[in-house]
Amino acid sequence: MTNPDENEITVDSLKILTFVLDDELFAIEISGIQEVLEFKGATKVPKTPPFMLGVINLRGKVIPIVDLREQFELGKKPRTVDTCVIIVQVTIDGEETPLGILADAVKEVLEVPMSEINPPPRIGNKINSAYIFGMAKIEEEFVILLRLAKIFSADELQSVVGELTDAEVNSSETHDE
Amino acid sequence: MNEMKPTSLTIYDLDALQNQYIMESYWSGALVINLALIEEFDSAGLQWLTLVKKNQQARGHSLTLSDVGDDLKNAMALLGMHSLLGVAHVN
Amino acid sequence: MSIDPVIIFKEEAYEHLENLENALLVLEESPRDAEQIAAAFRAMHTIKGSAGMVGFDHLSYFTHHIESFFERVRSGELMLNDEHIRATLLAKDHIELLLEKTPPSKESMAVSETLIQQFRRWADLPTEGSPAKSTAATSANTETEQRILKITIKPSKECFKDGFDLLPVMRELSALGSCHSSAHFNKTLTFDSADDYRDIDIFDCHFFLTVLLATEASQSSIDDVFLFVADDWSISTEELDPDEAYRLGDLLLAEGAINQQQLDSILQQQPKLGEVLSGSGAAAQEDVEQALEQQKFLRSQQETQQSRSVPSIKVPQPKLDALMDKVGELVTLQSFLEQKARELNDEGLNTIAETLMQLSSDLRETVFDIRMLPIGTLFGRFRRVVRDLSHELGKNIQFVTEGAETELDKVMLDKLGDPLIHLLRNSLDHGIEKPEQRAANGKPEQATITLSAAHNQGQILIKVKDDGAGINTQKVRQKAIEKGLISATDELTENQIHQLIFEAGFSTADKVSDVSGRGVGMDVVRTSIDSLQGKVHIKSDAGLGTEIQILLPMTLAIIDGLLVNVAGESFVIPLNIVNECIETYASEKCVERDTTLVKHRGALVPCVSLRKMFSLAGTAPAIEQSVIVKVGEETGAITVDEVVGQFQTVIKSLGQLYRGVSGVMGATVLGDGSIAMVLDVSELLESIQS
Repeated sequence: MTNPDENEITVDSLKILTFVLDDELFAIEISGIQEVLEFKGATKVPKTPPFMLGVINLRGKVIPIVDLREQFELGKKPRTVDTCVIIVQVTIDGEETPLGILADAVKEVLEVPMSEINPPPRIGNKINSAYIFGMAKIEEEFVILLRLAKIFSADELQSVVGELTDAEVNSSETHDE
Repeated sequence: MNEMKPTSLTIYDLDALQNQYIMESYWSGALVINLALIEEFDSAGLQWLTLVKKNQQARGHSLTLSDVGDDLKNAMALLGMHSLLGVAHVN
Repeated sequence: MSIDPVIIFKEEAYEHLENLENALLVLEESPRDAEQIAAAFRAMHTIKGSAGMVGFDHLSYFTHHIESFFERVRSGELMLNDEHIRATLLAKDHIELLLEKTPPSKESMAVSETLIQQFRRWADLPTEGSPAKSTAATSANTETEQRILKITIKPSKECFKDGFDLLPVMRELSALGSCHSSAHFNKTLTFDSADDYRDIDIFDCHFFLTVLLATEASQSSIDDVFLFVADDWSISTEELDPDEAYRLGDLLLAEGAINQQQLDSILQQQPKLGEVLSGSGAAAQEDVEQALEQQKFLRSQQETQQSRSVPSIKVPQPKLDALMDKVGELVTLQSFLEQKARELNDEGLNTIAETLMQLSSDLRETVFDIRMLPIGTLFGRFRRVVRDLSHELGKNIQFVTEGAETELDKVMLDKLGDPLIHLLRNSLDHGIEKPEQRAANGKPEQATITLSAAHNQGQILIKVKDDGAGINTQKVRQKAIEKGLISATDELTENQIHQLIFEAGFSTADKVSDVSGRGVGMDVVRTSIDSLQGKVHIKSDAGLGTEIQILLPMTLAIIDGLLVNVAGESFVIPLNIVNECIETYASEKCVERDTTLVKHRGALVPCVSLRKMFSLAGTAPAIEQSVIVKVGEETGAITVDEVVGQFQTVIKSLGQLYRGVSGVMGATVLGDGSIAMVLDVSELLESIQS
């Protein structure tokens, strides 16, 4: 049972897609990306935490959309014409599943040499460093490279949903349309 | 005509049933066993029915089974006793 | 998440290989140690059996030959020498290699052959062509073309007294195909006098059965039916040539009701054989009648076989799934059309929409039907597990299965095997007591585990029931407190405590036992059943036994649904549980201990307001609609703003991300492309009751 994330592969460079969330530049490795879509709202699944925006209909398939901003505790921002959804394939509990990530805007696809990717600083990060696998400096700007497998690992989700059932989310005013 | 109306047809009932049959019904000619109340039955019980049938027939008497439920009919068919017992096969 | 049988198999295999190695090392010193020989044999026997079940056919085949060799050692026909042990160690290493992947490389297979040659030579087995009697060798091929078998079953005389009933065996056999049985009573029984009759021991078995079975099942699945009784009963199977017309005389001859001479002489006399035979006294009237029935059965089988000149086609699963998907899309499109037609109010279009609905509904049924398989196809595998385990654990168990013919969606069936095996293992390991202990408690030494399946109000109910020790409520409670699942002050009913064993991280076994341990608890069972939109519930009586009930939907993919609206959002309620829809005025509602109740047919039923439950925006209209639902024995109401109507719902899973969500079983795409949640009504009702 080989998990692609655990495979030791030696690579010289990494292809990434950069996107904006709350004025910060993030990136994900490109091989997991299926497509990028315009965001037209999602159907909320009842009794779920705010970061789980709901589901959308993508050519007959039901695909969940998450707002990492909520997960990373970044500020709220109104949707604009640039708001879009990046559909990625992630492995949750051994099962490959498509999932959409909300982004304020998508920037570009870049190839970054491994030598320019540094491990995340242990402190001084807004975001839990477990979710990050590296930082790269591109044209004087820092890009945070996300570890999707970790963000959507069963344990992380379990803890979110677990907290939720404890707190009975009746108060969540997260209705989306 | 004599009638027996057992509630159960399992190996645990055989002693009582056999007694009743021999004491009350053996000599009386035509016998009806009404199976309406049967809740439990097993192969030993169905074998007993067939043995009684054969015994009655051998002595020129009859045994008629009445109110045979579908479960029982199915079981009789599974054990290949339906034709011996004169019970129509259900599907 | 599900328990991957291959992973479990490998784990087990490594354990067995370790046992094998240990045994071999002892045998090197003392080659006559019977206990170690048995241990080695057992290790290979188990690996062989389970390898076949998970598709490691080559491994199963290889191990079979080593096992056969050890069989002869075990029976004392062969003496182990150093060379044997060295080769067996090599074989053990080779098994390790074969465990890595299936099918193995050509090279590995070649190595197997050279090793096998050696063992065959030692075991003095014919080097080629002998069809292995091993069931594992054939288990890869579980389905064959339909054949007609004549099976003669001669139960032991004492079988009733020993507690073996023929009915369960026959029920399983009949689940494998269409079957016809005839009972043949011992010809020595006489009924001439009252004494004759009284002399018959009615507790002995006085008959044997001949069963004609038209089946596609493999020989190994047939053998499995007789697994528990094969040692004491005499079972013989003969394949009948389906093209040959069976003459009455031949059948009687085969039954031993007449002999060849009698038949020959009667055949020369012509007319109707049946009459002549019974008239001439050569055969008893009842034998003739039974043979006539058999003949009828064979004819009907021949006819059905001829009527379907293409008996069956094997279709790969993905193609079937693709077909299902397409039907799903068609159904979605059809409801879109229906909606549009309603809006446009065009009669012609309405007619087309209706016709299309009928068509897609029929198509849906047909596709489902193709996907349905009887649950009995799993039972053979279970029987082997139960048998092997009861031997291993020194427990005496009668395994009864009921409802083998109950049909389930193939996809569900595939996912059901592991949790059921887990439940059976659990029951065997923790539930059933050792025979001594049972006897001491005044129970029969032989324990019974019953696995049953049945249709129940549009759902499928599967039960695993044992007459073992039951759950130790105190121990479970203690453990749950230790694990932090409940607090020491929580007041729980016995029943609530029992359900705790399904919680994650809960395992009652004091030590991780070899059998059901492995760190996976009953929570895995619940997770698997959850993923099938099912429910699992446990009932246990201390000292009397435990019953685990699994309630599953008939199918996962498409249901008839009732579309409702709340706050502008759409939801679907499965139609099979809907009784009726009533109007609810705010004034009619009353509240009792936090539960809102609505009046329905003179009774008050608990009611779930979707708006409140899901914290949806807006205020409720003055007149709401309440959908009266019935789940199992419970009646409840779901209060919504508006009931839209009935429509065929293609249920899509919400995926792993929403795994823990309650109250919703999935989503569906509506005709306009928007999404509606499909409600899990029993969870909703539960949530207001607790």
